[in-house]
Amino acid sequence: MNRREMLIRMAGAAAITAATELVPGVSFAAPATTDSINGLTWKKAPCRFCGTGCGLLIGISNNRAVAVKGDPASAVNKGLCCVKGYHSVLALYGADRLKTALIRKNGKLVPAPINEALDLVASKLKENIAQHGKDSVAIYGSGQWTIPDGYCASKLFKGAIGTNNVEGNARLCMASAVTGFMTTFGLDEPMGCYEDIENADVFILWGNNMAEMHPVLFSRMLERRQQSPGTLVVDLATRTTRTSMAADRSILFLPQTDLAIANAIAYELIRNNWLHSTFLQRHVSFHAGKTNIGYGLEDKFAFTDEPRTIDFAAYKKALEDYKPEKVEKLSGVPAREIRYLAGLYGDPKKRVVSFWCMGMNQHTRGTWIQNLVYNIHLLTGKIATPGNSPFSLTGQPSACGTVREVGTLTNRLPHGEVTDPHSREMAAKIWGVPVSNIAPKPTLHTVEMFRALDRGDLKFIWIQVTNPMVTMPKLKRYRDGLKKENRFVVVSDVYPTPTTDIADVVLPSAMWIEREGMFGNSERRTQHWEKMVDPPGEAMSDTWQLIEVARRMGHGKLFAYKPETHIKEIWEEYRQFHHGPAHEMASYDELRQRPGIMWPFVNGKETRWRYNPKHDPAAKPGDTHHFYGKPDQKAWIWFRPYEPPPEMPDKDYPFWLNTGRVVEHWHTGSMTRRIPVLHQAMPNAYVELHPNDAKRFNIKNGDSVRLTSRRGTILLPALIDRRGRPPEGQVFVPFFDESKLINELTLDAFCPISKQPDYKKCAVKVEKAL
Amino acid sequence: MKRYWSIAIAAALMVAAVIVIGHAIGAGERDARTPAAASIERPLPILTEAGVFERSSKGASLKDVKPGPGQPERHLPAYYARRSYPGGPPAIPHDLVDDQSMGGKSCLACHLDGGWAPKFNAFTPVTPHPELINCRSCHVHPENKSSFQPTTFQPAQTAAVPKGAIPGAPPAIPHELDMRSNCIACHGGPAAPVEIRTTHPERSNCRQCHVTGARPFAAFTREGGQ
Repeated sequence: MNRREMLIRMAGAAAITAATELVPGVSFAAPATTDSINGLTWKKAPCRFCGTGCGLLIGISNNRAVAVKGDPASAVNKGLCCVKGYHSVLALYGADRLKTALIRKNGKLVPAPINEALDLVASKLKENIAQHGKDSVAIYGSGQWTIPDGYCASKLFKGAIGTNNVEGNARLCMASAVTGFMTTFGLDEPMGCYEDIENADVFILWGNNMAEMHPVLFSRMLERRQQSPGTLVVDLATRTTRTSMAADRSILFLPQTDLAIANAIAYELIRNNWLHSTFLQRHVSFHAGKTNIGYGLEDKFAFTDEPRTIDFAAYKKALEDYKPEKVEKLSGVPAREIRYLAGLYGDPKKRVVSFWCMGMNQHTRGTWIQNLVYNIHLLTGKIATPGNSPFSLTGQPSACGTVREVGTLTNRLPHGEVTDPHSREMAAKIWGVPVSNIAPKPTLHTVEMFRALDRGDLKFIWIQVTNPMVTMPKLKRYRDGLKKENRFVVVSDVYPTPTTDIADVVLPSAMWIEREGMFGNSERRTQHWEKMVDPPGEAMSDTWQLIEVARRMGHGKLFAYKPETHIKEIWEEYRQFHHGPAHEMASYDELRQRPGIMWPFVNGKETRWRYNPKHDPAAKPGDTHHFYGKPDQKAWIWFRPYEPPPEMPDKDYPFWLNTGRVVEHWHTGSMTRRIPVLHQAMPNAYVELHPNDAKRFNIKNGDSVRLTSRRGTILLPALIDRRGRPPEGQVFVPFFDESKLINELTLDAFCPISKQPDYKKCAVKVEKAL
Repeated sequence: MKRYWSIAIAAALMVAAVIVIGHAIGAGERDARTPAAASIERPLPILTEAGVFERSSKGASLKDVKPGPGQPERHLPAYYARRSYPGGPPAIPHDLVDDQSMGGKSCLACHLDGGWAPKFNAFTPVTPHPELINCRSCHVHPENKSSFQPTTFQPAQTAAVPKGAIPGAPPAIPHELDMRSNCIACHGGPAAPVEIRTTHPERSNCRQCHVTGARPFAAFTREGGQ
């Protein structure tokens, strides 16, 4: 209690006494202590959970977070949160928080001083590098890494150690979004921003249950519809969800056929001449790549596309295979519905936003489907102006800010690709390492990283802020792989998880507002928060863990940051990588002051619409658009065909399995399940069946159901016509529940271009468990 | 009489001028290919102020509505028990009418205007923000009372129900107003917890008397005063 609070309390006590004497018999409420709702200090932070990046105000009292409200000053959520955001601070206070380091001794994890654990991590790194080479060690982080976490990880592994074995779980979450942006525009991340919502007339959701997964943006969209009658929300999905209930039109398609539907829409746009011809002439070039590109099911699978330039006539001819009547047979979507969608995109009076997230990203043709949706926006010129926006949403708070912008992927550097000599030189200069330290070839992407651990090519992995023993597809192979002899697994986390269970060293992490940091959200917005409460026990931020280990490995000179100012020092060092009008970032001081700033941030101005010379300082003036990412200064329309998924329902495994999320839980539930209100609302995973299928198997709500794929089997309670309803012949299971691991069943096939696995499609059989 | 005519004409001209100028301003910002976005020109509401007058006209009709014999009243402990901390979104204490629908068609059927719900033997609480219809993005329904792991979270203390500074004086508002700026929703009518039910719901401008940020007995001090 400070002096001022003390004075207030003393004054209060005196006044009560006085008042009681004045009016005998009337009791007066005791003065509110500083713990009362009024005695709180409110501090700004982006939400800990999804990629929307809502601004929160955290109520702090006596070194504890005690309340939350939406930040009215945040341009993202304007004062509204979802149920996870409102309860986010409870995630700090699970009774089983990791407060000390743990080291495996004689097969058991036992508490140890954190310095001993950090010594062991550093010595194991050095030992493996000496014995097996620098590519025998790896770090695997996540889209929940703060920007300084990811930056230090990249600098230590790519700059100091000299291996490209750096990945983030965002590979499982939005790698296809990145390769989609790169192949079409030559630069990553959306051209538009959330303000597109208030400017659009039509919203088309491509396989995206926004009502549960991006609820705050969904509410913003419904508010737009309320204020502007005639606004349409179209839900184009494989399953009926809460989003379908709010949509004006719900269109169901069979898994994987979104590729054909997008091509059919393009076919119709051309047939009706609903094209923006001046835009096409000035800003678009046409391309095609390899076909029959495989699925990555075999170890050491490699793929390189061979793009070739084609002309409009060749593109038009290739689309002849995608007449709506033909696509109807493949997709189950009536031709008139396809024409309806084409009519919405093609109407020059309507501004159209397309939203998508995991449906298009977790897809064995994930890069292709992104290209195909961009094609539609490019054919109609509906891009990079207010309300015309193909918009890729993200699921993690800093998938964009850290994994994509800092480049914590095997092929990336904070600026550019590892294969690009200029990018390597820039990194070497800013990091202060010889350019020869930075390896010019990508090594292991996430699935291949875990395969290499299983094979034994990789001996050491440090996992931070993620839970791969719940999230890897075909989980058993990778869990068995990590448990093998001579694999050293370090896990930094805040709670015990199935991943810490198999670790050799567990480092307790400071979480979110227990340290200072920055996240970058889906709309290129960077958000800073300060440290608000102390971490428990010996818990230490992931950034500082990396710095401590770097120093112990002899790289102290590269990590000479001071404890009080290290986040500022790291930020100012990092933002040099993005200097220039195309990606200029705000200074540390500006980030501290404002509830988030969008890049490019030039002369104190945020860029809301990239490639639009009216808004984007990097775009050449004199035209409506300038796509400066590609060498030909154009956006690329790609012809990409429909190709079937690697595994489809058959006689033995007759059902499609789709996996996903629920509004209450975030990712693997390691945080949200420790929030009582969220756990009680959604205590366990379930299997959703169509009522007709349930009837056929005599399965009632709550009955135990056995799901089996070629890779594994689990039991789940049935949920029929509650949260959602899959079509007949399909089932849906959420992945948050560590005791009902649906990833035992999923397939580790991935998009050959992005290397992102497809969690949305594999074949299973359904049995009523007795 | 002539005077009234000139006033009327002047008024009509002013209205016309406002409309014409307004259109001209709006047209200047428009992209020729696309219609204007209504909400872009709409001023953003001030979140903590927007709701004070919402449905305040209903207040008068609540004046004499009190629970009848055998109709149980709500009390503050139950009100707070539904929330993780003061100001947190309450959980849904009853079965869902329709698990799949948006709130606009199900939740608001009862929670927009409230009233006696025989099924639950209770008066229905009224939402302070009926414009938000994806209700279950914030309000969840507990399936059971189980616990995954115990928590050590300690919520902010609930504010004591304030009394006026002197007898008869209007108490100040002891809570934040975000998402709860519509006073009558929680403080008016038979569903309001007894402890916080207003005696005068017909007075619509609540905050002309009840100020925010109650910090009882915090003394005024002059900056730099002697």
